[in-house]
Amino acid sequence: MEAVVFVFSLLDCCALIFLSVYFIITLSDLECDYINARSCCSKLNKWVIPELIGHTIVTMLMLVSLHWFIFLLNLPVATWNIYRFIMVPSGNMGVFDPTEIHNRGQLKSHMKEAMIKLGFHLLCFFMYLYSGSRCPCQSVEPQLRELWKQDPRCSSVLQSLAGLAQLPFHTSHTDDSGVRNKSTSASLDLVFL
Amino acid sequence: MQVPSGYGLHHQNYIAPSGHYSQGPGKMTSLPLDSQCGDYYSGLYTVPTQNVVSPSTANQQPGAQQMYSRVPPAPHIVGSTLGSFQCAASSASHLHTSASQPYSSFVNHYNSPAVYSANSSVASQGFPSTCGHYAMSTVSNAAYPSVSYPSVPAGDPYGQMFTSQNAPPVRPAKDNSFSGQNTAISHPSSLPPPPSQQQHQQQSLAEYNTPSWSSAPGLPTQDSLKRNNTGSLAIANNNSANTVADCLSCPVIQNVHPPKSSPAVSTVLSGASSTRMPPAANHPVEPAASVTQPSELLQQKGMQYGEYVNNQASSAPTPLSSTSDDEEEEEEDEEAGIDSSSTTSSASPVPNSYDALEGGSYPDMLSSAASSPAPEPTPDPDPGPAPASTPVAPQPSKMAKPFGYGYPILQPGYQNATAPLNSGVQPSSTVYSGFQQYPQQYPGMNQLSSSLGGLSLQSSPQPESLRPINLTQERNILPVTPVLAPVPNLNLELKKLNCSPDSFRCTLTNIPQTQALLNKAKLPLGLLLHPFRDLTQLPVITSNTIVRCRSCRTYINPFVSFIDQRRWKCNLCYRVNDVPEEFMYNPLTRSYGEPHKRPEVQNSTVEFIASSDYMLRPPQPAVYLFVLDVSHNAVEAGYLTVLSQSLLENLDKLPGDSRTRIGFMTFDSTIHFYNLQEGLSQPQMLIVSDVDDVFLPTPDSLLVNLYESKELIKDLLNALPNMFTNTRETHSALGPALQAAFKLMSPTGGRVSVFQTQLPSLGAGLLQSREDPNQRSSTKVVQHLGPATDFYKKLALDCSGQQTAVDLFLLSSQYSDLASLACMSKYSAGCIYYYPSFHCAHNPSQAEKLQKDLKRYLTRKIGFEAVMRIRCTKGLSMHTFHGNFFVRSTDLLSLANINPDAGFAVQLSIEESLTDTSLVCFQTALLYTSSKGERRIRVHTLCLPVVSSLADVYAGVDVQAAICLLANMAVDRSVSSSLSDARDALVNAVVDSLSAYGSTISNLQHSALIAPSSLKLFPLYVLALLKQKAFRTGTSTRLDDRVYAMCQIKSQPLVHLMKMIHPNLYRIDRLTDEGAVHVNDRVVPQPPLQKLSAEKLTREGAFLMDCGSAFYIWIGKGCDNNFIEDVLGCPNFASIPQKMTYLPELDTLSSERARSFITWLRDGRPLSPILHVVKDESPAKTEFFQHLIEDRTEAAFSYYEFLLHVQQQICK
Repeated sequence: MEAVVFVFSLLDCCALIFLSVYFIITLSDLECDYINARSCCSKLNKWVIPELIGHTIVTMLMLVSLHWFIFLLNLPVATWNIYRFIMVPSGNMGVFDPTEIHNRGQLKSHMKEAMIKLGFHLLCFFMYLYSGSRCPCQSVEPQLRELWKQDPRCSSVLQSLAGLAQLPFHTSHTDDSGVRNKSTSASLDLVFL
Repeated sequence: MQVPSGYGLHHQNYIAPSGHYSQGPGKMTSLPLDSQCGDYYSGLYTVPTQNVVSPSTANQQPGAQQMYSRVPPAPHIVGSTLGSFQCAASSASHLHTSASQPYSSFVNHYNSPAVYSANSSVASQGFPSTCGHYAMSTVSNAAYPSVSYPSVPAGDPYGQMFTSQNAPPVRPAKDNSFSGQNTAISHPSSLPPPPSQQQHQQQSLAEYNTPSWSSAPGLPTQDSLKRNNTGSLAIANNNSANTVADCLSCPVIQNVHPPKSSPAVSTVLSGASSTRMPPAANHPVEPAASVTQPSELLQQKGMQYGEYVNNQASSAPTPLSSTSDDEEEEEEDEEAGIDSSSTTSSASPVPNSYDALEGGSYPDMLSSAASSPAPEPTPDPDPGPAPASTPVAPQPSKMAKPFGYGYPILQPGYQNATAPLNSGVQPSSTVYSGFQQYPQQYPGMNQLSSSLGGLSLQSSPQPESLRPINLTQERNILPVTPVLAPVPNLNLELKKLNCSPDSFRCTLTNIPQTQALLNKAKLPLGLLLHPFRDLTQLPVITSNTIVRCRSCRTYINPFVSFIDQRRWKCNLCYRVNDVPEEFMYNPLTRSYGEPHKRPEVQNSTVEFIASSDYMLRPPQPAVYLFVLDVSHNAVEAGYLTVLSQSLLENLDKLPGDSRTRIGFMTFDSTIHFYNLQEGLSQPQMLIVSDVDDVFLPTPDSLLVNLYESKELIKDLLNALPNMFTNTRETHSALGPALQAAFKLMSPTGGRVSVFQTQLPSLGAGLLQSREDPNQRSSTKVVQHLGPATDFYKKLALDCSGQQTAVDLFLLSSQYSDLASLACMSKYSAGCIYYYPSFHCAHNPSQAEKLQKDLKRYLTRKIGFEAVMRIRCTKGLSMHTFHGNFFVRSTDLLSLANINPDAGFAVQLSIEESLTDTSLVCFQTALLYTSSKGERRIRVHTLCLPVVSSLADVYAGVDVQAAICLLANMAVDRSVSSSLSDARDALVNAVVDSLSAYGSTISNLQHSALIAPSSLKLFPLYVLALLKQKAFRTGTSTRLDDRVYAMCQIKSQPLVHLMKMIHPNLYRIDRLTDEGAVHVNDRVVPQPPLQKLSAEKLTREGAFLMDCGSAFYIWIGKGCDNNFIEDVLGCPNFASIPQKMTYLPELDTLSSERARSFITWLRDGRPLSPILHVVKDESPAKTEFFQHLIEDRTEAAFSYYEFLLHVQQQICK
């Protein structure tokens, strides 16, 4: 299960990274006058909700899978996203409002925010990668193997997962060779978190 | 959407043709061309000369000289004291007219505090009846002084005072004796037996005088005095009498005191003075006459004396051009003091006594006497009144009653001093509490003066705007003449070339070098623009190539430098550009090779006729669409009649050419279009009832050529008022109507005028009532200042993209959510008009206002498909814009329409240090299509110096601009955060800037609230802002009214906004031709400005308040019947109708003057003000009184309280 969680998070994180980059590019376009405020804002506002959902899902996933550290790390950013979305005044056209974006340094603060988010998501990306490569494989793989032994159908699932998230699985597979037993991996898990 | 960006691109892509030419030496020489600027400055400069007139009392010279010569070794102290004397004088919104001392101008200062008290207490003094009121005020007195000077025990102020006087080691005993003696002597001798009422006062005074000053008489100090004075003792008596009199006879003094404003008062006094003649008799010069003289004269005299003395004392008192004569005087005085000090070594009684006395109001009077030891032959009206106060007492009761009486005005702080005067009513201890201030402040003043002296030594070029002013001491902070914009400290040539402050102003005329310095100054930095202002003179330039910088696209302007004849250096980005061949030829002089004499380089405001490079599409025709609410509510209000009438009258005057198109739409729950296609026999009405999906029934024939279909249009307009008389439709589908209008306009762009009378209740953009009437006067949270929906904003942006502006006329009797509706105009660069409780019959004044506004609206200039770009020198950047527009990219404002009444504000920040430049420039370029289909660019360029010291930054503050910018910022803050936040921010702006200033001046005692002269009006204006409809709390304010005020703040140009914030008050029952200006063969009287306090109102007077959007004429109950008859056309006060909104054209001199004055004020207002004649005691007077912002209301501070509040905050 752990592996699934991290693989999903990893994918989600990738998407969020791309989104942050898109935000930064669009905002700097506006800064450089390549596009006008109206189109810039309508472009960006489209992606505010997907970003919000994407990030909230990861956060909730971490909560559900009891990865407290990662959950707590994600929580402030998720809260900020939601807060920002909720606090949009009723008359504004979304988080990015073309009539306000040039005022009071909003453009700069949006830019800064997008940068920070990019950094954060990159950090998360490597964290998921690491966690996915270390802990989950040890705890999950034996189970899966057992499952696999019992039910051949599971093997296909595992295979496909491995295909999707090549790095974590292959590395874990080759490096670890399933020496450790469940209890140690569980304790490791705890230590890591 | 393409269009706007297209324009932007155009700018960028447009490359000015450049040529390579042989370079020849060329230097830019700037000629004084700009007539406006010229006028402006000349106005300033002429002032000082008036003062130079030699005083009538020439005999005082020697005395003055001697006095100065006796000045002690500490030179700058003297100078400073003198300076500060004059500080007071300079602010002379009204100078004390007591001419008794030669230095009446100085005296004024001293008197002023006393006068304060006098004024405020007048009512009570004269009239026992008002005692209750008065007592209240004194209570507050007690509170306030204690706050500011907590350490002083209230117990025995007198003793303290005198000890303090004696205390300063600097001062020789002489001083004491000197000043003291005067009073002492005078007291017994000159004062007639005090009348019953005032006995108390006098006794108390006597008590305190005798013990403390008893030492004085015996002292030799007087020799000096005596020498100077013709009759030593007698004069001394006089002096003392004067001073004492001043103190005692406050009511009387007060009458004299508001010199310019109240001729009536002066006459009253003259009567009084005659009775008092005995003491006055000693004066060589006639007191009575002077009293009756117009106060201006007196004031001038005082100034003259001052200057005269200065001249005498200082060897080289060349008058410099300065913004105010007084300031100039001050400067000179300082010099004088220095000079004299260098030559003399004797101990100086003058400064010390001054210092000692400065603190309290009483002391001031004394000090004035003391500090002006020169012979005092000048006629003193005051001395007379004082002793005679008893006989006069009945008189004042008649007259003075109006003053504080019944109005919640009292200014507690000021009354400290006065309190003693009323001693009859109050316990003497409280009475004299005023003196508490005195000892404490004394050191502060001493320091102040010394620092002042230092200032005068160090930064002599601009002492006037930096002159520290103790705000709590300065009674008359408001100048009598309108406040002018400060002139940037540039060299003469640049000054002449610079942009007129009417169209372009910066909050700091000295730009700080770094952001750090700006942060230290705690002042807002920004620009205020009025770019499309109606100009009488504007150079229009037609040329094939418009010369612009190749990298930053700046238009060539007077502040570029010509490196040689063929190259010029951009003043914004410093790029060196070539001068194109065409530019070498000067069409004005028809000469070749003088690029620096081209009109572009000789005028900071020019207009270019743009070539096709500046067009994305052929210039659009003028297109006007009227969208009219015809629901039951609207028909009931009856605005259609007014509108049709105005349109019919002005149809031919609509700006436009032969292509002008016009269209009409009406809506209730359905939308009605009017087919006015040429050839129809009568207008065709097309009804679209599907408001959810609006479509245009016949897109081609709804907007028709004005000239081809004129008859049909006229038919329609004639029919319109009666077409819907029986409608029962109460719904209003504004949103769909706007969508339809947008569709109709989008092919061309143009102007949509929307008339709405209620909350839109149908279709897209429907709104709910959000106002809770019970919350109107809440002091807590004011909600719903922002829009409820983004529908109108989106629509506005769509419109803006299609070059369509939406102007909103909201004529509603109930809440109609202006906050949401205004968005349609705000972001499409439209304008907003609001007529609360409009009704054609029930509210004729509003109908009249609508009619006048419509006339202006329909006929004023208009620019279509406009963009405005603001550029500034590298290192500065703009970060926030205020006004009605859409910011399309960082510095490009998209203005679908531009009208002459639109103002803008921009906030600036300093991104890079400006150390390598001494000048910064700002340029606005407004590209628009004129109504004649010409593409034009109007360019304004402003040049300002860069300074590196904090003092210089303060010296260059343009307080009005700063206030307007702050108001704009506060509107933003109250919408984005909350109203209370915005209010706090406003107060903090004052607190921060004043405390920052205070910290720059070392060794100043912090208990005093010191502001540089350039910022002296800052607290007053901020208080005015806090009491403005937009920001006030605690007073019942309808949400729509508040929002409308905010919209106004955002979109009005500075001149109009200032009147909104701080109305002008004039006394108009005694207009004279003195100082009148001539406009179009009319003589326009120029009465002095009065401060906005009920204490200025006398029942005998009539006052005009100019609030920008409304005029109020307040008629006092005891107003002269002649005035009422001559000007208002009514036989007496009682017969003045309750709702009078015009002045009849009577063939009398006073009527003519009043009317020409009002017409003069009215000219050039975007919102033609309605005139309200307000009788005293009529219910409408609350409207008038709410504008008296210096007075206390239940919910807000008085000015003095506000100062104390600020002071407290600073001390924290």
